[in-house]
Amino acid sequence: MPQYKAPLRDIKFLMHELLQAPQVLAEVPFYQQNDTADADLLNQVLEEAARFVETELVPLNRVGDEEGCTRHDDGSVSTPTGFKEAYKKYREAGWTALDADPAYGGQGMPHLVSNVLVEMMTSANVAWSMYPGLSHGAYSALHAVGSEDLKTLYLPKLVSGEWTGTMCLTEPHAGTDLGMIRTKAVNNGDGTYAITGTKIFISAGEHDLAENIVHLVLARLEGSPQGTKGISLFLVPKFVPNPDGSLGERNTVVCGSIEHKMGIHGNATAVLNFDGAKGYLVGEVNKGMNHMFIMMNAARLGTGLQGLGLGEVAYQNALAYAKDRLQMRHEPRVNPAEPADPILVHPDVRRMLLTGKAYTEAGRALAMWLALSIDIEHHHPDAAKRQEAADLVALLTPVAKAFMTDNGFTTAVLSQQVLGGHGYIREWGLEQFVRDARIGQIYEGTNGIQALDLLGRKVLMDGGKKLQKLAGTLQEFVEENEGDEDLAPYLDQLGKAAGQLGSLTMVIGQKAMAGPEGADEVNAAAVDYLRYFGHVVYGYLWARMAKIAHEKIQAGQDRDGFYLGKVQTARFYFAKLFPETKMLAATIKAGNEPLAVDDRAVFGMERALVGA
Amino acid sequence: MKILTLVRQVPDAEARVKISGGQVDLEGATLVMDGMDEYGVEEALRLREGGAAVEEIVALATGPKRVEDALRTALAMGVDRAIHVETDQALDPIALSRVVAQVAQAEGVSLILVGGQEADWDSQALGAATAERLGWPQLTWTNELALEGDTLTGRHDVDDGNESFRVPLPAVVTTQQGLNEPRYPTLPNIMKAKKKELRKDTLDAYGAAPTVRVVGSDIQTRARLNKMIDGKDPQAAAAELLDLLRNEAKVIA
Ligand SMILES: Cc1cc2nc3c(=O)[nH]c(=O)nc-3n(C[C@H](O)[C@H](O)[C@H](O)COP(=O)(O)OP(=O)(O)OC[C@H]3O[C@@H](n4cnc5c(N)ncnc54)[C@H](O)[C@@H]3O)c2cc1C
Repeated sequence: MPQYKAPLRDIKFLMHELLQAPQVLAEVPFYQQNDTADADLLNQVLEEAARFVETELVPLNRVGDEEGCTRHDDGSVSTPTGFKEAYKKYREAGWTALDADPAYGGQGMPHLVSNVLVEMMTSANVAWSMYPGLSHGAYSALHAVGSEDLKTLYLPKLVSGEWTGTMCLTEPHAGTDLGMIRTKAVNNGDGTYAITGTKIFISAGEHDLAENIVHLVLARLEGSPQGTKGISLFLVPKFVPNPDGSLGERNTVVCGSIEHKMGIHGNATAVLNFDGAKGYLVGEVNKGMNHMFIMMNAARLGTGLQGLGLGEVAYQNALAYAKDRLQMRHEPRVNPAEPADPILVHPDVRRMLLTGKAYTEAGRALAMWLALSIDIEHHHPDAAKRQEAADLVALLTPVAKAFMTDNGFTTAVLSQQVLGGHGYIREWGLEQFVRDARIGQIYEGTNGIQALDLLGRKVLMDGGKKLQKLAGTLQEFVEENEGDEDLAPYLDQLGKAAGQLGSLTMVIGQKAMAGPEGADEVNAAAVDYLRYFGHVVYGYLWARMAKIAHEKIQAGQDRDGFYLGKVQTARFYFAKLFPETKMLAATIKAGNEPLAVDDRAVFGMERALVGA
Repeated sequence: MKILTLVRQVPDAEARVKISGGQVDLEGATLVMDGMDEYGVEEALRLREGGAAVEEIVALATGPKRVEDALRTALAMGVDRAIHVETDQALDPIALSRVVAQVAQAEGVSLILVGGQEADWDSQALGAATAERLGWPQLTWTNELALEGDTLTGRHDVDDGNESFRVPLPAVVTTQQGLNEPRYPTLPNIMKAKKKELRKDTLDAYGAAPTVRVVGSDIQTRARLNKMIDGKDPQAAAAELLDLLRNEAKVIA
């Protein structure tokens, strides 16, 4: 069975040394008042989280995959053996309330901490982690825009985990293009709405972990305009609660079926049929898309964490295997008493492992940096600081979502490769990580859509302002460390790439404005652009981590070799992974032209759709 | 009445330890509360929750600063306060029992819960040594405990079965696996634990010094013997394997 140990050493390094989170949070009265910025407390919470995850969730990962969820004739769904009991323990230990608002029973811990908890849970059992994950999304949206009445009734139950939540956006004909959704809402005139329509692919849409499920549903109010400007957000409970919070009538929302899918078998992906179901407006009429986007940054970062968590656990298991598995002889022999040497000695195996390590550790740094920025965005007393953090989060969220899930999948596949044929066999667990990691690239907006969000909305539409701010931060770091011999090779590469990212942005921007085909140019470049962007961000983080590590080594404070490991992984990253930017620069420059092929000749269409 | 529970911090069962300068080097290893002590802490909490008149539960640990973490865990589980005798010297059980006995007397406790066995050094002497110093009865390897007034009843394992006992307090009790299932500290209790008292004492105050010194350590190395059994005749191969397991490896009877 696969093993997992939460990477607490690395997490603490990032929290205390790279981000200096306790000092940053101490400036924020919200955390000070709640007494939740204390370094020892942060550590202790992380350690307890690790213990819970390792002992309760890891053993259920395989069970969940093998058993999957079962829908019964009455529309109810049961989760795999053990899921319910683990959820009860999780709830009772208070984890559902971790970073929630104390006004509703939350513990008021920084989002940074819950970010780490989510990473650990996705490593341990991503399918299980999605039940509390979706609830947290529903909590955030409701907390941000819900009326006082809705908040008073629903938030304490979501915070305590007694009820769970969902996010219902997708319909059969509307996935990426939510402007096309058809689910409709009719005003009942008594403060409630009747919701009718079909939602598909709803994660945690029906299950037996909790007594009630709170669906947040995008629907079009009768008379509202077509497109995204006519969409509103509604809360539709499975059981309509009485004012005292006790369960009332069963609402007319039922699970029509659950999907059979490639991975995350333990999480029920439901088709939900709403048949005049009783709903409540959340926020303002026709502002549904905006309201959803409030929680989208956190949710997208959460999906990025799935890439990170699955990469981490796959890497851990590949590494353990590579130490044990004896195949072929290395010269000079490492293990002369044995007939063969551990495969860890072969450079190509080291390449695969180091790739996983380099991506995972940089991804963790990015995720924690963004999570801390979300804390500042929400609670810092200084408006300028809040804005600065908000800009950074907006810019880097699509990068985190797509780059981390792409690299997480790559890491899972490479880790599987380390096990050779055994990686393909179920009992080793690696093939499950590969299957589970795949969905992160698809949902919560496909990675292609993330790339369009980054390049189109976050960079070009904003006139490059957010990008320039980030570039300024990088430039400052490069200048500050000028002359540092240890860092020089990295800073040189980083400085050049940051400069090139700017010029590539200009090139695409100019093409985008040049004519009616401009949008295609952006579309053609976006995915490569996001990857380039991701490398620049990881490069920056690796350089910063390497700087700290060098200092520790020089101060003679590297007794367990942790910092040497950082320095050498940074070197590997810049030598073997970062140069992908050179290729990406070329493919970005190649533009849309190679894609504008003749649709008849290449795709066998009867007529040309675009180009040629 | 007051209960004293002893807490030791040990490397996590899967931790890889290193040797440097002939001593075990715990740098970088994950350290946790000894599982045997967790049973003790849990049992103290359960005795109180079960209605016994427990005024206070105090956790005691000796060792370097990092041992605080194990005490914080005990506090987060529900212990009322903690005493940390801070020292960088490793105390063997006999030396440690001197501290435990003095704390027990100074605090006026009437029940001491101690791990049956130390996860790191395997010693089982601490309970006995403490009982001896105090002249209290000792109940070892307990599986079940109940407290009514000043009388403790319970069950413990002996070689071929188990015995039930009854003892008037004060007493020393040692734990074992199966005594209970320790709880996870809840998040609110973790936060509350921060505000609980964690007293620092120096080792000097107790006049305890190690009686045993570790002068060298080695990590066991494993080598495969690469013994192959010819599988042409499955019957013979199975018989040979059985013979090897029985007589050479001695892993089956
Ligand atoms: C297991 C699972 C769980 C899910 N959970 C939820 C959930 O809880 N709630 C929820 O609401 N939804 C959920 N979804 C739905 C998910 O978010 C959508 O599947 C996803 O957003 C993509 O939509 P689609 O499947 O309709 O693909 P489409 O929108 O049809 O896209 C197909 C392809 O076209 C590409 N494409 C589309 N438009 C463009 C464009 N303009 N430029 C370039 N490329 C484009 C896409 O990137 C994609 O590669 C889930 C899906 C799955 C499989």
